[in-house]
Amino acid sequence: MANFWEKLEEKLFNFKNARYQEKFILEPGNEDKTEDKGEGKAEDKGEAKGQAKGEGEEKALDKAKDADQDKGREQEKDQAGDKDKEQNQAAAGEKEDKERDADQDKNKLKKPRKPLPLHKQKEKRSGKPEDLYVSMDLETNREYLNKIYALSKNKDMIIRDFYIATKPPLKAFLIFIDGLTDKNIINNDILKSLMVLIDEGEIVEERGRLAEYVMEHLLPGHDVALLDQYRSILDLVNYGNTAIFIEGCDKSLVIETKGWDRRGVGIPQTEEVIFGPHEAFNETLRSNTGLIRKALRNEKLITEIQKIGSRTNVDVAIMYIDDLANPKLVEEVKHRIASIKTDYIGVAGILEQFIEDAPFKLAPQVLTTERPDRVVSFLVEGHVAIIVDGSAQALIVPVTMFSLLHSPEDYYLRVPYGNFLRVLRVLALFITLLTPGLYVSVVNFHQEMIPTELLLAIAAAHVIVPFPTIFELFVMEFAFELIREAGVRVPGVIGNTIGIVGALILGQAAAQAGIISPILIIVVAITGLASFAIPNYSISFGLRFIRFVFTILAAFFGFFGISGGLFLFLVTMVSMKSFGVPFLAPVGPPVKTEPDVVLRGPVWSMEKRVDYLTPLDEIRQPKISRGWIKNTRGGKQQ
Amino acid sequence: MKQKIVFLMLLAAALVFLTACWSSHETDELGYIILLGIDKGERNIVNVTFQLAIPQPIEGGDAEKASEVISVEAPSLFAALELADSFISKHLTFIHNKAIIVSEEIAQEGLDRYINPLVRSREVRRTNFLMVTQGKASELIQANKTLVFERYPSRQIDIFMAASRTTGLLPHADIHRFYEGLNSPGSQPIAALIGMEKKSPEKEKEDELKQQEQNSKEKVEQGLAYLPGEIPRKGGNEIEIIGLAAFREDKLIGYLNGKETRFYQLLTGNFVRGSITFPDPDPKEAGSNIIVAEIIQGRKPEVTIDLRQQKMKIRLFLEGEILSIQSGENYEQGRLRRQLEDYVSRTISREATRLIRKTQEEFRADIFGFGENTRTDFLTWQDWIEYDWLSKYPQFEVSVETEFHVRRTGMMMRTAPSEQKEG
Amino acid sequence: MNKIRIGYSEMTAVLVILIGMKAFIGYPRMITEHGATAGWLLPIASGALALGLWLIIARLLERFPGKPLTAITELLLGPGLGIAVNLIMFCYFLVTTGLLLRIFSESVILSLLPETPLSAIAVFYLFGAWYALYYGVEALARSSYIALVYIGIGLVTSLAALFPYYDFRMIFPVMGFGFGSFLKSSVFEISSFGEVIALAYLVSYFSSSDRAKIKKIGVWSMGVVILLFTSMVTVYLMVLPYPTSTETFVPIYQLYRSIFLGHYVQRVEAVFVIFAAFTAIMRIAIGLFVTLQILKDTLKIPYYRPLLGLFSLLLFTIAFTPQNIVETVKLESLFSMYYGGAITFGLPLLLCAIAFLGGKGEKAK
Repeated sequence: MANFWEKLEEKLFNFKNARYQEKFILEPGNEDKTEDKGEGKAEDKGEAKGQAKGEGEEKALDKAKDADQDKGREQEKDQAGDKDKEQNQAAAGEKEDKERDADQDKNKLKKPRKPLPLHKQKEKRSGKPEDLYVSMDLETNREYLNKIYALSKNKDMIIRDFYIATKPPLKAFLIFIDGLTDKNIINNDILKSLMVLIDEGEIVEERGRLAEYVMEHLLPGHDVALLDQYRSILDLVNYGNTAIFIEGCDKSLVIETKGWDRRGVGIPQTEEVIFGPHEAFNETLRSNTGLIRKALRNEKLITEIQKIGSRTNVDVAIMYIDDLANPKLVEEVKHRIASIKTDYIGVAGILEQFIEDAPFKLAPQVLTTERPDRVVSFLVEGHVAIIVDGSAQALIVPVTMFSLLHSPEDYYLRVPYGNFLRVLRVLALFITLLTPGLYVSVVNFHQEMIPTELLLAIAAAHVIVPFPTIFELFVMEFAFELIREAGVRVPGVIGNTIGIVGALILGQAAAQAGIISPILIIVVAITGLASFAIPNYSISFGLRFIRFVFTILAAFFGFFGISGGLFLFLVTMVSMKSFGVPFLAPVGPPVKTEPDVVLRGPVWSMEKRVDYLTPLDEIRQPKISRGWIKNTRGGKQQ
Repeated sequence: MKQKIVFLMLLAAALVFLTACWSSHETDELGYIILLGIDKGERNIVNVTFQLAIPQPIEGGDAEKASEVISVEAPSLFAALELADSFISKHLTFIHNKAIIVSEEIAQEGLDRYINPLVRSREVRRTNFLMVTQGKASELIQANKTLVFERYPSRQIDIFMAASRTTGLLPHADIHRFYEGLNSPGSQPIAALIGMEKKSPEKEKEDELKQQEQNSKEKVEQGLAYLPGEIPRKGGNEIEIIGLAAFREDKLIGYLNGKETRFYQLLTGNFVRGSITFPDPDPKEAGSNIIVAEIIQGRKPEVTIDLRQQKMKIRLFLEGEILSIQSGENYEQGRLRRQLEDYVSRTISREATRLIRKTQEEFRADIFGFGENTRTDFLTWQDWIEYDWLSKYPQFEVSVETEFHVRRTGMMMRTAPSEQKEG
Repeated sequence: MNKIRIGYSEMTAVLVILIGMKAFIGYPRMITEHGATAGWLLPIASGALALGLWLIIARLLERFPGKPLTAITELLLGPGLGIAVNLIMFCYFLVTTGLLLRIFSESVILSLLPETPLSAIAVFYLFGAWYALYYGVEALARSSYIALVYIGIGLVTSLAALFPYYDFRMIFPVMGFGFGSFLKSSVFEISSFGEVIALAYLVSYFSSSDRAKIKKIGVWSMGVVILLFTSMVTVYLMVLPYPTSTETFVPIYQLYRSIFLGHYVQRVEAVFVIFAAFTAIMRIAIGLFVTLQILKDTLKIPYYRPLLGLFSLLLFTIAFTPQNIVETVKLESLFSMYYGGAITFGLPLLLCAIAFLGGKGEKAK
């Protein structure tokens, strides 16, 4: 069976080889190489090496070894791609075969073929143009690209033919995607350098290493890769690089020329702080990683890049600190992302839904943030950050409930102010969850709790209203949510204010019309305001849902419903896990942690890293972190 | 198939909830009873009177319509409630009830019968006030329909009853206090006294004449010694709350007027502050001048009871602030101050002893709860019950000692003699 | 199946709720029934006694390291008698939890929702217990740990708010019904602490390094419960003195209702009842869990989750068996607070006797 393939390969290749022999300027050292091509598969070369040693053809042998892989692959690519041409030219090939056989005999080098690795065997039979290898023939490459990109229909790709001004001039073309590339670089750095700025009479010395020579001597460009597999070339060209194909080279030069219109570094939309940096991520992966790198200048900060989405091929960067993050955590993250099989992940939010543990629970298990300073603080604790190209948010894993309720401003302010904000936020959390439920249960079930005068005022306001309290509450809540959602779409400055003010005005009008009672407006407004105080956008959604559940329970069972609801809520949250870390971690299973769960401690007392991440390095700062304190025990008191 | 089963189970579970919102009442469905009055009924066993609060909007609203008084005759308290539902378009509820007013007749027959539903009901609380009235409760509550200072009677009663701390003229008498007194072998129950301005002209004239004839010393001593309805006044609320009703076991045994109630508060340690008017200590001035001092309780009284000798000694610790010295003598300092303090101490001790004697002889009821202090003298409960304090109480010799110190004298440290020239 | 581990503090919290929940229902009333004005000393006395017994039982557990009491029973008494004894314990926990379900539902009707049918409330409780147990005992243990702090705060606040009604003279005469009666009651009242034996059945949830701590967990949880009981009964006696104290159905609710700190802070009992209802659901869940754990170990079933639905129904049935509330309270008081000690302490002590005297056990000296 192998023999059949070998023979086929030989036949097909010989045809090609003949044409190259004419065009290609042969040098003595390369002769053997071309002959070697004629030998066919690399399999035989192994055996041939043995023989060659015996025969003393060591130079050829070395070159055979070097050119082994290249040639072998080249041969396969030619064969695979030329299947449709095979039939046409099989007959013509017959004639050349005889010539080739004659050459082979001349050479006496029968290099045995090495067995091909499996993936290459498969590729040989796949037949898709994208799986090909770069061919030495420029026209062939052009035809491949025509087919791959459907260039007759696809007007985004530009192919520019030119001659590299060496002596003799080399024909080449470059291909790039208009709109993704920076044309200045292409014009000035590539075309100009290669066409204009080459010394007169530059002779390409090493014929076998044409591409390398161009890359090393002629082509300025900070990021140049030599690739011969079309799959990799296409991945890069699709992302904004430029590929240069040179006549007679079986490799392509891919130069980084990314330059598309993009937003600069902007201001955070949802996580604005008053006392801290105002930078936010934008949609470009490299900008984002740059923003993180400039705040975390550590050689141990690792950025691993994977591709996701079979049709979108978007880059995903996984960042972590190598000697800090738990290797198992990193493994798990990489494993989860690598195992996603889908066609479109364009945004971090979609990736989040793919990798989280429980997609239907009401609290997020991944933290999204658009602030680089927050990402840096998490990385230093030992978390892992995931950045998706095209999305202005970073995902942080793992996360606990308490991290979702922290805002960066708590740290940037002094301890008392920060704690005040924290307490306020905890109160806001409970208000937004429980207020409608408490209102309904007090007014409908436990009227004795309200002071008599207030109760009579509520009753007086309710006398004229034709609907039960629970109905009014739902109507008002619904109206509030509707206005909030609509406010997102109203452009400009008015958009934000419409949310609350509109709801209040609507409520007031409804109260005067006698549809709802006025106290209800206050209840709903307070609830809405409190929900705006929750820093994390995802969890405020979750809380809105849970508030709804509480209201229903309260409407049926009063305070008992609320206490049952709290119980169910607590049990659900306690059993959630985010990448193996329990969701209520420092409190749920009580573990040692730095003083930063609900209230935060002073910055000089944050000595140990959080235990639930099991980082590799537990100590953050020594006991005495303020060196200027004298005469104290442990530096903790002033 | 699995989904069908799950669906059916969910439906079954949901059925539990779909029937109704049990226990859920809208705020305007309920009729909030603020005052409850119990009288002996003519056509049936009891005549129950409710004062309901009608919700009024915050701005505007008619003060007249803020409460509605309803009387109903029925065999029992709860039967009255049920009957009332048929002519009141609200569900009556006691959850906001403030006070329960019992007429004299019923109290004299014994409150045992009526206290039981009040303690058992989940709507009536032990913190509701219990009051006794000398006439009919229905008339009293009817008179309370128009409130002068508030819109609803709830606040009115709360502020009234807070007077137990600000003046000491009435006790903090709630169902809790009554029930404990009823059940305890060491004390007897009490209730507050409530009444209305009496309108009977003959009695009015009689009282007026009697009081006009008293000399000033007697007037001063008459002072606050009124029962509700007797206070010579015009204006204010229709109802008056002053004084105390004493019970022996569950039957009404007598009344203490305002002045006596004050000493009751002093002796039980519930007194906080109140001002007392004395005739001037100087016998020469006693006829015309008075001294007013605000008395504050310094410490709780010390009660020492000797069971074998049947003697009881009570020490009161009081402090004071001088409010008024009409004679202009400098009672704030020195010898005169000590004289004043002695005088006040003796007066208070005397009056307190007189009060205790009254309860021992007339009432034969230990309404003060001195018996509770004897608990520490016994080892077991049975021993204590065997001792039977309540029957031995009238035999005890009682002495009261007061320590009174003037601590403050208001804005003035002394009174400069005013220029008075005859002529 | 993952090995579930429960931590030290979480287990303590679980036990405190398991044992201490009685304070929220009938315990103060029953103690004053038996001890009159000495009721506040009884928890200390009986608690000390129960603690002593627990230490003995812990020694038994140490002799068979890593084995829960079900396994030890079968080892010592042989399979037939062993299973019978285990099933008796199982029945004890099952019946007490069922009766508790009834009492909790009735107290909710009394305090919060007077017109809601009993079955709806019982279903709600069971749903909560089922939900919690479905997520596993870890969730329950952690929730107990977290919630206990807030329940404690609520309790302390409510007891402190009753200060105007305290009357310190009411806890005298000291010896209540007499010293003899006091001693007798102390001995019987150890049943109130009987649920501590549940710890012996949960040994398999501890990692091997924690096993030495089982004794400590028992001691700590009983200590907290003794404190809870004593303070509760003291306040109860001070506010509602002896004869009245035997009358109330749910003492803590009556206490809550008496809070009156002026015109604005009155009638606030509904807030405190939230805490009590929360703890009640947890108690039912924990009780159900212990029952299922014993059954699981006795019958050697690997999982308990499939049994959840069945046992919820069983609890519901037991809850609705008594005819009226008085019967329930009597049954529950006698069963779990007076005579139950014979089962919960008696049987393990029997096992101890057999083990120590017979010199059995892996670590027998």
